[in-house]
Amino acid sequence: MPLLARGPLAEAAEIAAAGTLKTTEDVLRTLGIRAWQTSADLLLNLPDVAENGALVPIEVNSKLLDVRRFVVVAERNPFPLIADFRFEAGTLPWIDARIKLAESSHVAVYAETARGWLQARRFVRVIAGGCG
Amino acid sequence: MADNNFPIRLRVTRHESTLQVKALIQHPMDSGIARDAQGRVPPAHFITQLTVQVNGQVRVRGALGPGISRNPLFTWRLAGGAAGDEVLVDWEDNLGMSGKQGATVT
Repeated sequence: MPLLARGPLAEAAEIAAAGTLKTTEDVLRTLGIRAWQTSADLLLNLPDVAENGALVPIEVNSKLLDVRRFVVVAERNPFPLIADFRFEAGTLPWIDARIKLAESSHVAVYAETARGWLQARRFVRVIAGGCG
Repeated sequence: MADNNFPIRLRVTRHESTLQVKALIQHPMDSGIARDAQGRVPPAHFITQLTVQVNGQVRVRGALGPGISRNPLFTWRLAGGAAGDEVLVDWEDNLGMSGKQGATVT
């Protein structure tokens, strides 16, 4: 792709290609997430048990004002990258969505801040898998 | 070009100092590996990127994988917001289809 054609959306398209990567390690490497600290200031709300893996509610939220990006990864999904959200100035680092979990899995969120990446991670037990 | 087969239901509500933007997008979000009710495996068809804009300014930019549920429902919170602000949500999928929906803050 020519350099001039690279805008934020081209970048988003490249990142979206990460949506077809098959391991968490590949996703993190592709997005440049090499080191992180677990943080209690990063709230990841998920059910402990999901009856239907096709429709699992998720909420990610942080009181930290310098969070500019959330990367959500379902570690045992066939395509682990769920979403990569970037928040411009004036947007609260908060997202509410519904995701698929192919099987019981840890779900992790990585938040980019000025001080590096923070992580929160939770395990969700899935009764009926929603093939990812 | 908007694809009317996949409409967006957009609701914007004002809460004190924030705008809550809730979007329900009709989209199959097929991963390309999951079987449907008929036992077939539909080819991959999922939203790869979306944006939320206020008055033409991008406030949220999302890159999505196929792990977002069918008929995605998202909620975001934006600081500020006044009556008359124009909120726009648009998306594009891996097959080049796209859709958008605007709403005016009341």
